[in-house]
Amino acid sequence: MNASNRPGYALTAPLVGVVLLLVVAPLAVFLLYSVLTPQPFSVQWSPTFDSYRRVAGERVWWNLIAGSVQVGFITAVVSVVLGYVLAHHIAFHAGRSKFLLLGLTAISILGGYLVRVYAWRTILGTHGVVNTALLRLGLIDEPLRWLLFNRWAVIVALANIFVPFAAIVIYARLANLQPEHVQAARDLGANARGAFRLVTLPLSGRAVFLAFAFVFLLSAADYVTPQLLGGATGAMIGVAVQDQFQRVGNWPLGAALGFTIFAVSAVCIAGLWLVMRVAGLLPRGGRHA
Amino acid sequence: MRRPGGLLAWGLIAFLYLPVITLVVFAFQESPRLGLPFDGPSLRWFEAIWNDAGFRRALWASVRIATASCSVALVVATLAALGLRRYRLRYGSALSVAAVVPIALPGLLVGLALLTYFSSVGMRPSLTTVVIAHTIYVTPYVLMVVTSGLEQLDPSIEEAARDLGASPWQAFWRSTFPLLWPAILGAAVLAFALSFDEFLITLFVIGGDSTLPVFIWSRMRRTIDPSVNAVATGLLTIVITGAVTALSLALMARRRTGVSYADDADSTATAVPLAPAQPGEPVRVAAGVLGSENG
Amino acid sequence: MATLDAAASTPLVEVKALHKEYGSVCALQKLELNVNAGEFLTLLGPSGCGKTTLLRCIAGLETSTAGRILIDGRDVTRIPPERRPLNMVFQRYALFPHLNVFDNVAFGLRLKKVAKEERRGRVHKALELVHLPGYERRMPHQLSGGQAQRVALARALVNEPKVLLLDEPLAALDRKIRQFMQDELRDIHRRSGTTFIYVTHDQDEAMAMSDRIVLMRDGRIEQMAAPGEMYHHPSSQFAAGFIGDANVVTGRVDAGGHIAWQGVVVGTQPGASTGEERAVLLRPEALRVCADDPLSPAVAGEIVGSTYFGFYWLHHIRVGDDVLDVRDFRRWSDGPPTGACWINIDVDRAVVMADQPPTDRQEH
Repeated sequence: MNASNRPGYALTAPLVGVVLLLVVAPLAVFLLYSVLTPQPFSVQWSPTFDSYRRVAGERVWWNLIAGSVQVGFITAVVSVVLGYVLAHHIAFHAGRSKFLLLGLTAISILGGYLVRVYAWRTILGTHGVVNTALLRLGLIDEPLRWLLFNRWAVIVALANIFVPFAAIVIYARLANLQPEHVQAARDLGANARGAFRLVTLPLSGRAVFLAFAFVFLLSAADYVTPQLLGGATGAMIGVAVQDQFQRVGNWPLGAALGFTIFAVSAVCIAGLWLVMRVAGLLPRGGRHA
Repeated sequence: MRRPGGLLAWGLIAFLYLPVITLVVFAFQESPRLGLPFDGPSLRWFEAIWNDAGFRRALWASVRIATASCSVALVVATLAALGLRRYRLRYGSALSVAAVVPIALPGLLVGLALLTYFSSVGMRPSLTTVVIAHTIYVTPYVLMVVTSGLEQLDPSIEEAARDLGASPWQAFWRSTFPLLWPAILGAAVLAFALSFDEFLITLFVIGGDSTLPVFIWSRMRRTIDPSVNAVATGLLTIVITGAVTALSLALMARRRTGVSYADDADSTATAVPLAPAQPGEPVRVAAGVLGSENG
Repeated sequence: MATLDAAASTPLVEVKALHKEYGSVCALQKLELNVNAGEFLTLLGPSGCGKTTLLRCIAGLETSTAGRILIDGRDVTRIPPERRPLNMVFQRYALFPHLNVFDNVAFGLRLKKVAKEERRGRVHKALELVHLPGYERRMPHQLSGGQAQRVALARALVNEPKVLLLDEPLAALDRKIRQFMQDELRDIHRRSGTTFIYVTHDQDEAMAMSDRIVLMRDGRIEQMAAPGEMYHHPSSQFAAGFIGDANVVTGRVDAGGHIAWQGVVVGTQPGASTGEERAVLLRPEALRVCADDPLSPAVAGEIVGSTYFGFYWLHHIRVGDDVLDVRDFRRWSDGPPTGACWINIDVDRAVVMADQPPTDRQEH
């Protein structure tokens, strides 16, 4: 070890300790538990793939996983698209309100999770904001009962939480782009839309991908939103996992389910990466802008 | 695309704040009904909650947990940020990535991993396990904010101090720290606010006690009246105040450390280069982004 | 070499009363300018004089507050940049980092839906024009500064624009490369025959490359002339000082209409009244330092400092209230001369300035 680097190792030692003891180890244990034999709210230390066999074999889990993937995907698409619109506006069209918009967006990321999800019951409920507004405007005669307690309510609530995050990630990238690239594209004959498609979009592809991956993963595994807003059709795998751990007591099964949703999400994200690469949205040279 | 773009952007902002505004408005509802029409304003639910012993216990628990986890994270992450920045370490990039994992993974998985881990070493769920969980949850944010603050500092300032005779510790304390403390303080406030709000992981590793979000969660399932809104408003106030403070401090850090000289030639464009996005870089980017273009 | 007296044909680019304000700042003040087909015109001036703003207005990347721009007789003021028959080379090259050299150069052709075969041929020719054949597959980050700038040139020229606009394209390059690129640019200008409008703050560059120089200051055109004319007959002290080195002294008109300074007649101003003051420009080549026994006309002075430039010494010599810069090409093995000296003046090379003499004395 280079002597001049020794202080560096000393300074980072606590973090290394924390990471090893409290990140790597727990994840390893979690994985381990998924291949052990269940005992009520505990495990027996005898390995078995039973839990994974159950996950693979029983239909109910796959329905939940499919539902979760759908929620994750749609939430990610909505969040990234709306986030991009917001980021693009702030980066290129905002003028004097840029600062304010940016601040509001940033605060909205950091400002609460559980309570925001809860608030949607008041917004989408039969006497809620949306229904009252529609009634007052005379657009409906009776309150709509289908706004709440389904998959779409879950998606709306999750998108509300993740749009600002996607916006900030994408904004950070857009703010770094040299304006000359777009100007050069315009100079060479592209109109505003062409310049966006041919230059801005490919150069921001990585940020888009990152935002998408993050939102997808977090949305698919959410277990609170479906309980508050999902009703019967909005059930997601996360709830089942929580259920296994806290009510049923079959920890290995819960762990196996948890790992499975992670793995499925990872596969989907990898798939997206391929698609984006093929579509030219993740160019090789794109990082050097 | 000027006018419609603006409308859309502000519309999105309105959408983002709709839940928060609805929540707060209904906290002042007079009747126990959680729907329109609005009859109020009334403070009765705030009173009811304030008088609830469970609430006060949960609040106090959250304060203690946030303080503890924030302190530990602050020390660990700041030291690590300095180490990573100033020295070239073999495991440098691996550590940076690994440290961010707790916020890149869903709360469900982190919570379960910690639960199984504590169980395997014989620790029962309690407030202590929550402190540990929050520490891991909050550390990546502190790391990112402090790193971002360090990146804006001109390294040659500390080198100049060394050249003038200061030891490494003196150089840090006298030349770096005075410029860095807003970032550190901002990270601390942010960590505090995040710990207060954390719920997904907490639900798994907490025992019989409650933090404020857990209190809200259990109340939410039992009663359907604006008392939940009242607590929620309280929680939101704390969290959002923390967020705003943290952002202002980050901004202040930006302004103080960026030096430009009066006759710097400028041409058509600016753009300060930031490092390309790495996996899981959400709040570092948020903390660093305000002012990433010079004024 | 293209022409000054193209008065017969209409100019290719006409700028009429162009005015641009940013809030309280006026970047361009009712500018009038004509650019002739095939010429190499340089917009020269200090930072903030408006030269880049003018270029960008011509390109369409900025909109003017008032005034018009015509290209080939057609009013393009309201036309967006992608539809003007011009192309631009940016200061920091602005090559698309996610595309290789071929795709960069072909970018404009693809937008115009040029057929594949023709596209390939034109890109190839453009790369040959800039002496970079075979670079098609390289990525921008693999290129050196000079190479990147040449690719940017090729990317612009391949579209056969009527006018090529260049925004300080060599400012980011090292000195040796810059000199090489200056020769390249002139060569490409000559071979392609395209009209070039070039922006720079470097007067040496402007002198070396241009057919005509437009010297700008605070949003206005200070002087417009060929390099030689601008050097030998600057219209103002600002122009004199900006192009080449200048010593400006104040002389007084005597009874015979002669302008005298420190006892030496340095010029004439017929019709001027006796006693009036006139500014007189003495370029370094009009002055020579001697230790003693000078040829007249000469003035006495005192050396107050000297700077070494390798192949000459620059002496700062005090004469009366002025300090003049004079070059000395002799070798001084024991250090430069100091103390009292004489300056020999070649009066034929002195230039009487049209504008008022400076109120504060010449100091360097």
